[in-house]
Amino acid sequence: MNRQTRIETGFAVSVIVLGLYLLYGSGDINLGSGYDRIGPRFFPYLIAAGLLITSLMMLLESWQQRHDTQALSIEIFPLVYIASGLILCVLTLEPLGFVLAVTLLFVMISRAFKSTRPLRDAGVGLVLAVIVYYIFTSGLGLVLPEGILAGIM
Amino acid sequence: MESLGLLMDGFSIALQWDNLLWAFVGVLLGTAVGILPGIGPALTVALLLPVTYSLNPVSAFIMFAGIYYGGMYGGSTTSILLNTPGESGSIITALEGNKMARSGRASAALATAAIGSFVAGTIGTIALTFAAPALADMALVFGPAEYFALIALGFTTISSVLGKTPSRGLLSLFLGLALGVIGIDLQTGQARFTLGLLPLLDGIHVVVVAVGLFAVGETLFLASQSKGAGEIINVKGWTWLSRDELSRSWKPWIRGSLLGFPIGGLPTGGAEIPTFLSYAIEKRLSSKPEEFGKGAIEGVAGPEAANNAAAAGVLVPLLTLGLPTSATAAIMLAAFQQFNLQPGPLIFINNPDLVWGLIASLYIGNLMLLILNLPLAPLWARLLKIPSPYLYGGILVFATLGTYSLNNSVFDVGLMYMIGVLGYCMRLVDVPVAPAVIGMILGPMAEQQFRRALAISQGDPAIFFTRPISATLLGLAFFALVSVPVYRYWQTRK
Repeated sequence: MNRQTRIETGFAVSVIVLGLYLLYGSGDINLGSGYDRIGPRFFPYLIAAGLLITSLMMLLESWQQRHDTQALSIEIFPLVYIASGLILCVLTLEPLGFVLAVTLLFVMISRAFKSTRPLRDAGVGLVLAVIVYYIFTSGLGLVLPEGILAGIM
Repeated sequence: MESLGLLMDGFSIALQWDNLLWAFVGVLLGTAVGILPGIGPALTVALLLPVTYSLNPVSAFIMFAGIYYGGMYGGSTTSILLNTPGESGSIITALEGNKMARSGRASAALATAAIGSFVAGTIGTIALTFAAPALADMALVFGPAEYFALIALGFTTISSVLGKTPSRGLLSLFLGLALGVIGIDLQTGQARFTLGLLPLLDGIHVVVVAVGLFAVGETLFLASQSKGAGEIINVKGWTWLSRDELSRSWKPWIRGSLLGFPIGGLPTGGAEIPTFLSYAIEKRLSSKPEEFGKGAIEGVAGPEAANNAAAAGVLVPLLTLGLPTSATAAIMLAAFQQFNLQPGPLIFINNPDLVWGLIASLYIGNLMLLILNLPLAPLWARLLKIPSPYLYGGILVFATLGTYSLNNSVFDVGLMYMIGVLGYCMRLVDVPVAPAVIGMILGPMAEQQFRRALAISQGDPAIFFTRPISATLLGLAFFALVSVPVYRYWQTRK
């Protein structure tokens, strides 16, 4: 089994697990009262069945098919940078505020795309974040978290 | 010719100064995001939804339409100059267009694409003007059973067309349907799959899913590929066609348009099929078939026209039936719902200003796009020089901004990022993401119509098979579901 087949198997198996969860969970939905004949469980059951059938089909297709040995080259480090950037951004969005949180995100994404100058990236990201912040709050009336810059912005 | 009168009313709305301005903003943004890899019209409209809360719906839709058409123009520029098609409709354009650009004929390729897009967009919009009201009249007789059957047909055809194999398209569709179930059931008020999380009671907004799948999923995928950036071909001077190039282009433009509009208008949707067909036809009809594969102008003119006419065609089922057949159309449907409007036959009766203002603005937007793209193509091409760290960093800043602004909720942002990881996994295993977005928005509608139909029939499922339109649509849906696997099986047996 080569790597592409392994990845596809992993994906299909996860979807099978999800399908089983939906199947199991659908039985727990409260039926509620009223004269609705179908009830809130029918569609979830249908979707669970659909997920199970299509993921099994995908599994079979994947095993039958031969893949090029070097179909995809996946680099891990960029993924780690982006993932940590995303987690940092969710955690800091409200405490630090929009401007600083997305500047941090911008630096991490730039690093993932092989930028080697984090200070310059931070500068570019900060300028972008400040411009975007003012356009969308003062200009377009949205509310974005101010965070620790509350007094300054 | 009732349509013409209504269209004139539409022009009187679309030609108001502020609406012209919104159309201009739309085509400008649309061209830009069409050119930039990694961001397309679906993502752009999704990100702009929160901004348009306070806008009047007519202006918002005029801007969205500009983004939609503009994205098609911009996509061809990237295909030709960078050989990386921005969206699936421009795959074929890259084939011949990039070869032309490499042999120093970039400006001719850009010009035939831009003028072809204009011709096709105009023909497509004219066809839309007359086809839409006619179809809307027919759809007035649709009841819940017919709507359910129609959505089922859309589900099966869209999923079989998109993706490497039908099972993958359908898997994506069911993932979208599963996401759509989360939240309070509209009929009974019961919570479904909310995992005890309060923010999930209202359901997941389609923008959260679309932005996650398109922006974050795509960014993760591209960052993990060690492939270097492609070579950008420079264009200098004006883009224009010589007499010979023009005479080789105009017939493919017309043929592509006539091919693209009806196929785009089918409930299957998809802009790729007409572009493939157009390419095959032009290759057969060309007086110089040996040039194909080396930069034949017909191979750019025809598919590019087919792509744009199909884009106009997609608006027919969206406006008249409320059936989106592309990711961008699905987001536009979400935009209609945001303004408490339901596209379908009644919108032509209840909101004629909106519908006809929108259609009229398509004519205007198309003209703006021709003017913006033809002489200014080299200027637009400079957008391709934005370094990818800043491009994707910027895309994620906007993705975070747009998602947060939906409900001012950090929960939504986190959820969007997680759905992005799902989108990345789907990319890795060749599962298309568009059916998930379409399933997510149409799933709750399908369920509602299904349950309504059975309430009318007092629980008798025969209602779906005894009403002729519903029975036909379900028959077609079943045929679409089984025909592709059967055909493939038969092919392998041979």
